[in-house]
Amino acid sequence: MKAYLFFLFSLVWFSWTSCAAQTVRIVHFLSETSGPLNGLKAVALAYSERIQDEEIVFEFQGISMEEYAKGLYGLLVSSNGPDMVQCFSAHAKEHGARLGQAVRLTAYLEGENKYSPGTTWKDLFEPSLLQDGEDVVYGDLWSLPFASATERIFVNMDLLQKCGLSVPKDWSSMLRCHEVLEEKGYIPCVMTGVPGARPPEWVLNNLQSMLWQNRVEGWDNRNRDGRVDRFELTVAILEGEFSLNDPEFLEPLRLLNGWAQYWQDNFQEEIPQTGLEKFIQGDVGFYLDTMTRYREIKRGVNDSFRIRVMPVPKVSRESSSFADGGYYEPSRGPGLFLTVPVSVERQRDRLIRTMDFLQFLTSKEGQEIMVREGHLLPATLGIQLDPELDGFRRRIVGQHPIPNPFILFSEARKNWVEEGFRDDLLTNAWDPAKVREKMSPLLLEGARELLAAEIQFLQRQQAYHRGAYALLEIKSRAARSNKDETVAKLIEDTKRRSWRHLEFKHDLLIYLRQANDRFSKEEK
Amino acid sequence: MKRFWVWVFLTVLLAVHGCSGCRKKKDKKEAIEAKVEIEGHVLRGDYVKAQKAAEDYLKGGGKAFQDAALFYSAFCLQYHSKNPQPSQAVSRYQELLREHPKSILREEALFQLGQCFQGDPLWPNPEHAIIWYQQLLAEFPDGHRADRALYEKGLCHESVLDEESELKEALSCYQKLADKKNGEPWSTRALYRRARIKERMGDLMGAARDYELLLQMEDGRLSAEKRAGIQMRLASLLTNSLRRPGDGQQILSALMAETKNQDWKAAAQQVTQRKGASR
Repeated sequence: MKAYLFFLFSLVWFSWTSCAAQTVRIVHFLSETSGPLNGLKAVALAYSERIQDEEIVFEFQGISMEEYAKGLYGLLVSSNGPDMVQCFSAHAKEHGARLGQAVRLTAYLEGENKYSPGTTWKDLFEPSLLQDGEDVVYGDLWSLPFASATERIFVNMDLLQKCGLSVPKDWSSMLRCHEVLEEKGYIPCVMTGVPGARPPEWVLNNLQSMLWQNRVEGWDNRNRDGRVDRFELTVAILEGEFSLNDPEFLEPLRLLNGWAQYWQDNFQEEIPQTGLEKFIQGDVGFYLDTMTRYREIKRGVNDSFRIRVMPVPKVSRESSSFADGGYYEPSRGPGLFLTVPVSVERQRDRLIRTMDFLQFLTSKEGQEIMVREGHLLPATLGIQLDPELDGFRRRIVGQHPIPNPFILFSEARKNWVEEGFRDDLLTNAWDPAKVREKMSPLLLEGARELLAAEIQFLQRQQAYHRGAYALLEIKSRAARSNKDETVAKLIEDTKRRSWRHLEFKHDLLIYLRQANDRFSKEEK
Repeated sequence: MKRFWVWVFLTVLLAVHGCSGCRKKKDKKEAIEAKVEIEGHVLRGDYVKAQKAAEDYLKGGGKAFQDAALFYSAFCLQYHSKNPQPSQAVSRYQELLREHPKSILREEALFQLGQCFQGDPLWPNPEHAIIWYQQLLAEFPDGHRADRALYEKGLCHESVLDEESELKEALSCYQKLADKKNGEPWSTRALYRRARIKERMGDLMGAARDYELLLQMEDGRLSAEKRAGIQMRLASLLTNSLRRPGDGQQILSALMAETKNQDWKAAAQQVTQRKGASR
């Protein structure tokens, strides 16, 4: 009797588990109304329809950024946790490479993507995005990009046409558009009020990159890679090479001040939706926001007027005597990444299903759906963009090198917002003497803080690289004693890479400590 | 009667020997188990579990694996990714040196002691690190860590700021290594550092000569990436400081022809274009 009951129970259990739908759970911190989530849901739906032999149900669990930051560890190690977690690539590296809580994706990427046959999975991706996700010490990937986004200016085409204007081609024509709109009683420009978004700063970054390209060679004097790094600019400020007495360095602030005169009165108040609501009403010419909200904007506008998308326009000689012809659009936002918790690796079925979905998501078909439904830039190469998304493409005009975004003003943001300097700059008429007087101490203070922080950061990095190198030594010894020559060779290559980082950071640390020493003595 | 006591004595002796043998055997078994467990955790990078296992073994009073348990405990404290504790690691290493002066891990412990002071993420102390590297070199001049210790000692001397005598010390460390016949990969790395120090001390001609020496190495001792970096540096030195723009341009052309890295290629091309424009 007992045996019979056991047999019956097993039969019921087996048939239930084989017939029940498989659930794939994705945890994300995307906005419920934004494009990326819609894109991800559309890809999931297409994938479920495509897999005929079993039923797959996707569950999307949204969490706040705060919950994400606090709960990432739990999400990654919990045995009944999600199958995929949206994450920042830096967090994936930390939790994967250093804590072993994420699945190492490198080996999977070496194989073929079955939904894009004939190509190695890794080769499908846009290299710069993949590089963002790669851990430099081990050269491993712990997360995969599935899309990327940018910040842009949305234009009300109908309003422009009504006022006899066309889409501005450069900075001066954009200001002319604003002037005409204001004269005719319309609001020239509004911007997003979503917390965390900072349109004035990214516009300033764009302007700095455009106007200071000819300075790259002078400042790129430590890590000669054709770009200006943060520490190079910091030392340039402390050494007086970058001084606000030079009108060239005040120029981006002057241009920003010129444009800000047309902005809505309360642009600095962080009230979500205010800017967007105004734009949707149709009486605003230009609206600044990120691409991830494209869908929301389209839906809000609901075909009541035509919209176009444009980047911060190029600064020509007409607007500034310092314009040197170069153009770089650095406001391409970071990629959106998914990581796979290590708990998934313990269950083979789940792992196979997750990898299969990731392959589909990053295949040509998946990416096309993502772009179409999510209104985002693809994470892989060779995907045709809709004509309406063409304005989001990154454009580089001119022969100048691409400098790193000059993030100094963003770094010193806390100071320049707290001291009220930003509001003064953006709401008052342009007064270079006043700006110089207020900005110079902030700049110096910011640079000093940055230098000290950079030294501490480098010391921690050094310690991390030393640790990684020591572990690689142990692994290499173990591989040699197991006579596993292939693994030993791979480890040796990684060791060499790791050593290069150590050596570079050693030189940099000495350079920065010397600079810090010098400036502290001068101060005394 | 006498014979009886002889038998009793022999029986007791046998029993004691048997017991101690058992204990040794048990200790050895525990040691092997602990070794497998600790090394497994270390290889997976799980330093928390590895350190706990090492400490558990030490608390259990095992002797056979005591020196290695001390070493791993210190190693895990030193390189813990979230919360490194180099000062605690130092006391563990010192305990190992004190308790097991003839341990085969002595050389490694001396080296890691240097690393603890040198690589402290909050308060690096190169002066103390130099002392430990010095001791290692004195005790194990031909040991497997000798070359690396000499190199690291050079790095420590470099890190002491504004002292020309320290730079000279560093130079002598690198000189010794560069002259070594079987010192790879540290000899090549030392040659590079020698060039960097000469540059720092103002001996630009000497630095350029060392960079050229490095570029002449054609047996794969330099990785492509490193080679490109040296070419860029030498080109800049020749063009900007030594006023030999022709030679600098030649190096840049070689770099553009050799490297497969697009970033380096673009950087070299831009420098060439700018020079052309400024002329």
